[in-house]
Formats: sequence, C-alpha cells, structure tokens
Amino acid sequence: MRAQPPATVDHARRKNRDPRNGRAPGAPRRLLVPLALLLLAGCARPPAEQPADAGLRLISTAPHLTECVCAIGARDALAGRTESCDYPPEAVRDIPVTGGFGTPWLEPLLAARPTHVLETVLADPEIRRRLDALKIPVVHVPCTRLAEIPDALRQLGTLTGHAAQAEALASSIRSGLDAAQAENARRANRPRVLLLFAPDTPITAGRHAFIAELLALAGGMNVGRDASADYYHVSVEWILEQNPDLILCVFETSGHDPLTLFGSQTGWNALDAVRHRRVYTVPDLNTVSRPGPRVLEGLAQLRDILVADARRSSPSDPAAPVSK
Amino acid sequence: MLTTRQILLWLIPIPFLLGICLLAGSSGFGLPDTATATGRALLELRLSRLLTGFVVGAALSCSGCALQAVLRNALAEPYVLGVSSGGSLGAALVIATGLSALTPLALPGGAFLAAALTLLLVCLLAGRSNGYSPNTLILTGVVTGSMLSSLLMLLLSFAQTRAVHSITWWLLGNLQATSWPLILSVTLLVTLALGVLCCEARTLNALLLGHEAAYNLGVRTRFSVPLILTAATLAAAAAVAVSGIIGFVGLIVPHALRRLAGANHRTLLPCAALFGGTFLVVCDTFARTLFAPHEIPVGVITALSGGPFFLYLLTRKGRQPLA
Repeated sequence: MRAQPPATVDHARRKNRDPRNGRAPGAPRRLLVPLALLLLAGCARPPAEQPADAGLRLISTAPHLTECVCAIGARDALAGRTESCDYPPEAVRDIPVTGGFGTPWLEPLLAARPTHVLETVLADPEIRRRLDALKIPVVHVPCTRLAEIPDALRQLGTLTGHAAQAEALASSIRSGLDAAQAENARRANRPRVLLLFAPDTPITAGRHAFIAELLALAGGMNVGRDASADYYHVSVEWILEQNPDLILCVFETSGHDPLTLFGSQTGWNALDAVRHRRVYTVPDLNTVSRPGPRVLEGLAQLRDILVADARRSSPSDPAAPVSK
Repeated sequence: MLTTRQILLWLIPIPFLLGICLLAGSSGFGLPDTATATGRALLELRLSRLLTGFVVGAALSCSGCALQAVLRNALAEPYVLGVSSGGSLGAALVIATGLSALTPLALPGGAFLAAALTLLLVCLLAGRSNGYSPNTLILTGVVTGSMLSSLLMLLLSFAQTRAVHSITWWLLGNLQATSWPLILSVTLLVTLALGVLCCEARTLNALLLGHEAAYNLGVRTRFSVPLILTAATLAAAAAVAVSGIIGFVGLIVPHALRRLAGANHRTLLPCAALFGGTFLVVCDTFARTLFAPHEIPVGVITALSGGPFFLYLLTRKGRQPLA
C-alpha cells in the first residue's frame, strides 16, 4: 500500500453529504405501500429521473483528481467526491460525498449512479475488485508525481470531452515546470531543507514524495532524499546529524510559531536551523501536497519561502537563489 | 532457580551494557564529539533516551510483577486495568485537537491524565462490589479498556490523515522523550510508585496465596490491594505518558525473572526494575540503529527478542507460571 500524504487533507465531515442521498426522516407509514408499489413499477422500466443520455457521472476518489476535473471545466460530470475534497470550494460543496481519500464507500457510491470511478491511489486493492464485480468501470489516472500532472489533465480532458481546456491547462503547467527547471539548473546555492510533517513525531519525506519533488524544483535540497519511501519516521539523532539549514513545517500550526515548540524539546536547540530561527511553515498545505492543477501555486509558495530565507540569512550573498 | 550470589553476578554486566547502548546511535557507534554543539546535543539525546528507556522498562516490569501477584493471574500486565486504552485516547485527543503543536508537554500530560482517570474509574467500579476481587477487577479493566478503545477508533475514523499517522506512531510506542522536565517528573513518579511496591513486597508474597489467606495472615487487604493497584498502575500510566504503548515488557520480564530468581517479591521487584530497565534500553538501541535512519517501534524488538527466550524458559521445566 502506498502511504498517503500525511498533510494533505482537511476532512469535510460526512454530515456534509448531499441530503438527496439521505432518507427522508420520519416518512409516514401509510406511504409505505404506495412507495413499495412504485418501487416495483420502477423495476419494470428505467427510472424516470434518468435521462436517456445521462452522460458522464464520475466519482473522484482523491482531492487532486476532483481539482483536476473542475479545473478543466468538467465539474458537472462529477457525481461523487471524497470527504477531503474542498477545492474549488463553491464548486465541490454540492457534490455528494462518496468516500474518503482512496477509500470509496460502496453504498453512497452506488447511490450516485456512477458511470466511471476515477482512481489514482486506492488504499485497498480489494475495492478495485469489488467495483469490477459491480461492473463499474474504474479509470486509473496516474497522478502522484509532478511529471504526471499534465498527462493526467489530458487524460481527464479526453474522458470528459474537455480536451481543449485540458490541453491548454496542461501545457501551461508544463511550461511553468520547465521554466522552474531551467531556473533551478542555474542555481548554485541550495539550502538543505528538512521537511517535517508532524509536530509530535519526526516524519519526513523521501525523494519520491510529491512535496519533495516540488521542493527540489523550488531550489531546496531535501535532507531525506536518500530514502525511497514516500514518508517515514526518523530519529532526532538523525536530524541532528543532518543538521539542515532550514526546517519546513508541513503541518497545521494554527498560527503558533513552531520555533517555540522545537526550542523546548531535547536536542533541537543544537540545530543550526533552530538557532538561526530558519523554521518556516507552509501557508497553504494543500497546494504543496496535492499533485493537481494548483501545482504552480505550491511551487511558488516554496520558492517564496526559500527566497525570503536566503535574503534574511545572507543579504549580500550573490549566490543566493534569486526571485524571478 | 538462581541463588542470591548468582543474581548479584548477573548484575555486573548491566552497567557495561548500558554504556554500549549509550555509544550506539543512528549516526554511528562511538562517543559523540562533545566539543561541538551537535555532539553535545547527540549525547544529551542518547542520555535522555537511555534514562527514559530504563525508567519505562523498570516501571512496566515492576508493575507487571505486582499486578500478576495481586490479581493472581498469569496474564495480568501493566495495561490490564485499562490504562493503555485511557492513555491512548487521551493522547489521540491531544493530537487530533492540535494541542500537541502548542507545547511538548501537552501530549504526555493528556495521556497521563486520561490514564489516571481510567484507573480511578475502574477502581471505583470494581470496589463497589465485593471488595476488589481479582476477577471483578480484571473484567472491569478489560471492559472499560475496550470501551475506550472503541472511542479511540471512532476518533481515528474521523481524524485527519496527518493526525492518524501521529496517533498510530504514538500507539506503537517510542522512547524519545521530548524534554528533561518530563523525563525527570516521570522518573520521580515511577521511583515513588516502585518504592511503594517494594515496601509492600511482603504483602504481595501473602497475596499470592489468595486474598482471603492473605487477610488471615494479617494483611489489611482493603487498604493494601487498592494501594498496590494504584502504585502499579500509576507507574504504568507514567510510562505510557512518556513513551506510548510498549507491549510485552510488563508481561514477559516478570515471568522470566520469576523463573530465574523465584517468586519472593523482596528480590523479584528490585530484579524486575534493574533487568526490565536494561532489557528495554537494549531493545531500544536495536530499534533505533538496526534500520537507521528509519526507526522501528521498540515493541517489535521486545516481542521478537524476548518472546523466544521466554518460550524457552516456559518449556524448560513444567513449573506453574506464578509459582
């Protein structure tokens, strides 16, 4: 099983689920017989509310897939989303919740009468077999790495009939990433960055994690890059040995300065990053942890942090990363 | 069974073992260079971890010894009265509400508070009926524990992915305590609790014969039993607060030592403190160095290394586990 990004999600609660899926509370008992008759009648011919050409009814099983579908203008094709999907807020609010990130709930999913289920990482492969058994086509959209985003958009564009919009968005993201790559190649000075995903246990990212790719592109050097695991626990001793130049907190701090947290823990005060107060938080966690259409915003966030840090730590150093 | 002299001989290697554990770390073997700030921090880190490991190991082993005797049950362990479930729920609440991002003391504080409340609840409930009978105590503890565990599962099913990771890792147990004040207060609490248990060693010996027999031998069971339960469980709660749930030590070390050193609690309890503490420190050294920089849960090592040894002791000769 592939680890899910720890910082990705602000879960919407199940109670936000579309009321249409809920049963009408306290239906009078005398209605039961006519209702049963109606149901029986319904078995004979196709349900009346479903038009002949129902079109696409997609179920998204990941917040970044939802973002991708909305970004290419195919919001109306979405019939179900995860409880983590929160962007774009006004567009996803009314979509029924049919599962968690990578964990579809079968009953609400079936109730949404899907034509396709979009999937990038499923928590349990068994789900896939269940959906196959139910004859619901599952579309695998590879979208966990930076380089996969443009093609994922194109694939969704073809599926939803929004190929032109998808192509435009994909190529603008591609050129944005290429520009960052070119800028990155000219960079001489790369600060060594520790990515930290929780305030209470040191979890960091290996080189393949999405945010680690983003950090490398923004001009930082991830100290956890030797590991191939996406996210893993490390010891404070290892962090001390690495002695990163700066620490990037990828978790909700609720406005509190993480420095005060680290300053009071054994060992952390010896870190250069803590002593020189080079500890930063990422303002919008979702853009840096979701491989979706807002990837360039996430990249800009990380670059802004690194640029501000370089200015602060060495105002006269010409080798510092320069802002575009 | 070992004689007193043999037990004393077994004590000799302990300081050396602890010394070796201090030298080992994920950054390499050897004493860190104390001339640099990083080296000093490394040494401080290892020292704090060593002390935490020793205190937690001692607390869990002694707690297990006392609970097995007072509950007259070979399966009793420090968490039998529900402190682990209570502590987990407390810690999970602190993590899920984001309080743990404010101060490092919030997490152990929440865990200890919840564990102590659980103990209070279990003792109040079990004491209402026929005066702390072992079966009532165990059943009350197990049922309270399961109820708290299901609350924890409910919390986990609603928690954010990030919080789920932190909670799961906490549940697996980790000996990297965050600050010296925490370690020192836990050490103080555990020392107090173990002191009480050692003072009650004769009572524990009598309780092994059954509560009624102990009463007839002059043990004030209405006073001693709750005292021992409280001391043993608070030691476990302090251990849980600083290190999460570390299984196996509290169950296996007491049994192994009872086979080696006998069931007299006047020697058994000090032995449990020393050997249990050392055992956990050694296991933790493996946990943090085997797959460095990955850390693996220390509970994996305690079970995998202690289990076979215990099974060997168990099958060597046909003695009753609590005899």
